Amino acid sequence: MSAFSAKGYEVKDHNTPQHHHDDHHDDHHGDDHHGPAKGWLRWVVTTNHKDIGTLYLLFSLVMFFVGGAMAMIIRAELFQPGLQLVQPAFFNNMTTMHALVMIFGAVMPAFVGLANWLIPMMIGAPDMALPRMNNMSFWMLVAGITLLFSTLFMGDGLGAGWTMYPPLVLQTKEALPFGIFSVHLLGISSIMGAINIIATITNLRAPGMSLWQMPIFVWTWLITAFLLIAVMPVFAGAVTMLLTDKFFGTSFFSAAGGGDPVLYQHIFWFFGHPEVYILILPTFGIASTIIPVFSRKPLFGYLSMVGATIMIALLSFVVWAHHMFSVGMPISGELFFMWATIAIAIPTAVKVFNWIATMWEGAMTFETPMLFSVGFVVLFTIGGFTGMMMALAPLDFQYHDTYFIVAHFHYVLVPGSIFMIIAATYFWLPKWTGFMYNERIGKLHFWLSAISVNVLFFPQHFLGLAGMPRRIPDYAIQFSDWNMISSIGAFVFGVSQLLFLYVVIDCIRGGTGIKATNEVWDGARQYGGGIVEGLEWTLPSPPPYHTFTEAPEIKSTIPR
Amino acid sequence: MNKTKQLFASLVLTFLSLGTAQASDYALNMMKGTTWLSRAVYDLHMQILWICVVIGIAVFGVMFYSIFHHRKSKGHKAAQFYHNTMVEVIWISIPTIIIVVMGWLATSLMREMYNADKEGNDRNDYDMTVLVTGYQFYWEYKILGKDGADDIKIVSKLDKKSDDASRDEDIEPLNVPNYMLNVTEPLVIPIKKKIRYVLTSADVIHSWWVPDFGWKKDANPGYTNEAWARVEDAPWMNTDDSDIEKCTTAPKEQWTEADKQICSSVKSWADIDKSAWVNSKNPVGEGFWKSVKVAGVYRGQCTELCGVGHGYMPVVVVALKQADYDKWVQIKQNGSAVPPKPPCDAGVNSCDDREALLLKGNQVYVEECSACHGRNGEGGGAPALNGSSKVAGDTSALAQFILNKVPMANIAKNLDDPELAGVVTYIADRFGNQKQALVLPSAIQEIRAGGGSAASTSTDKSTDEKTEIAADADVSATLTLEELVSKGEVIYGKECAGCHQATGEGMPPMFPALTSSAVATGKIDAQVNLMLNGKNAMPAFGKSLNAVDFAAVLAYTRNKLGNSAGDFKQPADIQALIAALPADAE
Amino acid sequence: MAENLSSKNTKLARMLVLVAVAMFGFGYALVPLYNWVCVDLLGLKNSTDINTTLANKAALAKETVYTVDKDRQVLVEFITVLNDNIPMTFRAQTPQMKVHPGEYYTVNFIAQNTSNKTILAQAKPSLSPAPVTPFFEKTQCFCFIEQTFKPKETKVMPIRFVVKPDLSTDYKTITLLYTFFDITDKK
Repeated sequence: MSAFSAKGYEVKDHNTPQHHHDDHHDDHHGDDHHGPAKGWLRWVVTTNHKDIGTLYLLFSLVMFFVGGAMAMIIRAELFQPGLQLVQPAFFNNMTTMHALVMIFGAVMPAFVGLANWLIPMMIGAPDMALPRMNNMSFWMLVAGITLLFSTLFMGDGLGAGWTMYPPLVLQTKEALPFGIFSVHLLGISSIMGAINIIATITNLRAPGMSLWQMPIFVWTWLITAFLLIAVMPVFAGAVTMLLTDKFFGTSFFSAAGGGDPVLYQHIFWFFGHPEVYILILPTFGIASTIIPVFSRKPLFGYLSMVGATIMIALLSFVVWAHHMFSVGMPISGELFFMWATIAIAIPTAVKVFNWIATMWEGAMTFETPMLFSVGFVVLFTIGGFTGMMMALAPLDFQYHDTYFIVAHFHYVLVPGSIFMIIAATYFWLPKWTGFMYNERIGKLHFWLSAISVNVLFFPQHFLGLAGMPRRIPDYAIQFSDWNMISSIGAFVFGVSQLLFLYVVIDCIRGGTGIKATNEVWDGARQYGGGIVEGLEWTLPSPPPYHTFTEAPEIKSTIPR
Repeated sequence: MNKTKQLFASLVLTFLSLGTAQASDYALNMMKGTTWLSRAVYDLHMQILWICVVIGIAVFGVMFYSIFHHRKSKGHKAAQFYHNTMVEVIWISIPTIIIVVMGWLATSLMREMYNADKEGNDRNDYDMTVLVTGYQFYWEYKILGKDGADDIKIVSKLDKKSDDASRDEDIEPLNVPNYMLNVTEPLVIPIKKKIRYVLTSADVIHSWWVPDFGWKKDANPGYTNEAWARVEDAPWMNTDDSDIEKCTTAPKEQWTEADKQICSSVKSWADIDKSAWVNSKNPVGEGFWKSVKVAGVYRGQCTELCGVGHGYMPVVVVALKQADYDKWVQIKQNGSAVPPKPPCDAGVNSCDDREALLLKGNQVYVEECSACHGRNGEGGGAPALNGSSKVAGDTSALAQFILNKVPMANIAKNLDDPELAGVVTYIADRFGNQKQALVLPSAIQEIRAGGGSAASTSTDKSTDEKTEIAADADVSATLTLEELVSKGEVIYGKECAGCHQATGEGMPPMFPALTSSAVATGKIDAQVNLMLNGKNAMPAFGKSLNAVDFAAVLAYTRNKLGNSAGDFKQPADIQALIAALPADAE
Repeated sequence: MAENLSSKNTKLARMLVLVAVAMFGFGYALVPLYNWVCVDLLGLKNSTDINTTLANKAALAKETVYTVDKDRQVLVEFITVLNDNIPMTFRAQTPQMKVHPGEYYTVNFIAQNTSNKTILAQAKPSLSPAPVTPFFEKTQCFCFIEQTFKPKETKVMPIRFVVKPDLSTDYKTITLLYTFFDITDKK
């Protein structure tokens, strides 16, 4: 059982601070210079980046389980052919809501939560640049999601898929305006979050930290934030057009009035493709932070990592129509979007190679965050391969809108984004709480998740190739076996996540009793900050309410 | 350590055992399909898949080598390199080369698919065009006629057995042949013909996919898309009848390799359950399908989310040999295998002679009348025509009757003069045994004009119907549900049972069932609205029933016939609604 | 220093808000952009009837005379669809015709309102294959305007069209689809 013992960190007394910062020293922060407000009101009015980060992360955790419960309903209905549990309208409602909740409620808020907690600490800033807007964007998120959930109780709710293609979505009854306003709120919330992050990174970096020295997580978030500002308003525009088409007599997407339903798909995917990179770029940053620490080696190819991220972000604006190969485009259009799409494989491959090169010749240990990261690299790459296959337009005519695509995007989003959010939680949880988490259960969580996620999604490739369309509540007999296996995988995966919940709660309560050191992970200070010292690891665990009220010194860890 | 390895090994074994031992039960890969394109797509799919597998093995090989050897627990000391320009240039170049190769393969296939440069595949030179229209939630096909021939229309809905089994927990889907992939009537096409599919939609976006053809294409409302497919190259497609006879006559040991393939096609065709395709709306009966010795059946589904019924609109295409296909076309167009004659119309090819009228009439009868009166006049939802005195009597009285009597009037008003003339002639001839009967279109025109009756093409029929409203009905009385229901039963028998049947089971799809119908169990206002204003073949009763009768029928349909909505409306409320109907444009 | 920083933050935030607002506008700009690229540049989709309507109304004034290519024939098929089960019947009087490029032809479409209500309907044409769109010119069409159908009214509606002689000889079949949309409630 030696593999499960915690060797990657040393148990030290957390009261031996290496860089002690007096958190009563500073007074240019107005009314919150004496620690948190008392009582529950603290969480409502807080402008502290750590509090808001915690709120975001907890909110995202709840949404992860709510969205997951919806997925369980879907997989339970698909366990066998025939309709057993739900009616088709509710099934469509669940597929729609599962996607919206997971994207806008779980993954994006989790990234914003991580950004809130980590970016100021990583760049040596005392807080986010716009703390009050920070609070507002969180509560707007809550309002948006609440509005979204309210549609569950309106007739059949939202059932046209998260992509909301007209004319189908215009057949939605009472729920439509609520869904659209909810998207507006969520969009405004994300845009405010993105503005805050850009302002923080631009203006609050500790003196001496140049852009090209920033930790890679900060880099990926900076790029993500620009993507958010660029595309969320376009999505808001698209749904606003839906709203006016439905209620105010415009004809953006109605052929009768000179519009075109396909136009919506163009606008939507102009947002939608960068959006999927919004869901994955911070993930790259997390992997690039965790892998060097547990390999005890500097990140390989810092500059090419940043370059590749920028390339991916830029390319994401010119590939959107690969979501619409079967919509009826001229060959020139199909070929352009095909070539642009496969070009993305190059920077992505560079990233994977860099991670492997970082591991190469390292002195690796496999604590839970590293396990999740390795699982991420492997499974994300598999998702990349299927992505490559689907990028080829003639092949996509067969793959499109089948379970093959479902398998593909779940491979990049579940063992991709979700795994790395979990990895990040395990990685920084000791820093946030001051206690080590339960490593044994963490590892069990990883193995159960990694196995079941494959049992869940790998058979879906077969289903798609064999001809099963996506978004159907009932299917032909020849799809029964793989669906059943997939559903079993789903239930195991779902239940496994309760372990994660347990570990997080247990760690917050200090259940393991093992105090975390400042550095937490052996080598985190040296390797956890990219090419400079990882600043968050110089702070006590847990860090005081206000940190870096005096700018820290930036130390390069590799000779330039 | 050991535990981890064991776990990994057992995982690998699990997948291997699934992949090999039970491969026959589990569909794993894309189907090769039946067209040039689908096979080209399959080949490219396999090429790309193998390239990905090789890359995967190489990349993961290096990674796992590192994971197993460069561990702290093995005492490995971490190197501190972080950059190597040469390596980075190499690993940007290699993926670039691979991607260019993949992209080039795909591009050339794409160009062939669009026929930009493929010789012998002359662009846009098609043998026939099939219009595919998506509806919520079924497909409608029109095989466009050549040289003035009529289009062949096919309405292709999910078959009843699948539909029942999906909703009813007592029916086991496993026992339903081709569960969820069968239809009431398949699209029938000839083999080896280059067929152009033009796709559109009548409501939301659908997507038409037959995996065996190698493509799917969206059907967008208001817009057309097109794609083509030629079903070709299965061994049976090059056979004649004697080859097929071998399967039953010659002993199995004497079969050549080619025979085996052919006979397996013959057997699998014979094994296909065709009962769902045989129904009263389709003249192509069991006999025809039995006469076909071998054919290809290709199944697919709608692949663009189109609403609650998205999972319930399969596609079935049956590819027949040319001779069988020609026979099918004849049956489909004429109701039997007799050779087709061009039907007459209101224009140059006028319907002045008896023969042309009978032909036209036959067609109209099959399309418009046979659902109720029976294909052979035996009756059903409506009175039998065989032996009816009306049919045997004066033809112009018969025409008058058809034009004025609801629900026939509703159908008749959509028929033009030659069509109506034809059908009256046909009915008198066939069911009334009036072998000299001849009703000319001009006579119909006269009846329409002179009778001031329901169905002249641009006026309305309200004046006549208004007189039918009983003046003495007391709309102010408040009635109980029981009173309304018992009154409603009588009115229902008179006004509604002709189409919706006394039991409420209707005659789908033309006359929907009322039992458990969305209308009769849903919002009462919606039903009132429908009854007031009519819809398709349903007359607008707002102008022909008095408020009491209207309320009675409403109560009866919602609370009897297997429904228990529990609600009803008082005549006074109905009266207000009738009064609010817009005055008819004169 | 603190003042300075906070004003720097506000300034940057304001700029980014402007970017966001501009991108919202860009979403709307994609509408004309799409029409420009797909209709004018590629000439593929006749997606904006409004545009083609004006163009065709202008063309109506003067029918361009083309050289008729008597040696070549193109099959034109006419198909009709009723959107959302609008209570009408609708068909082309001649379901298909062989035409010489350069010559003008007239085809009648017959539509009837089968309901007891007045219907305001708009026909939407679409050509298949899409690349022939710029080579198929209509000088008269019931799709140029909204059509009002009184209860039970039948209308015979002509279109007048020409296939331009410079259409590539690749194209031998053209399918013209008309879809009638009910726009009664939109007005």
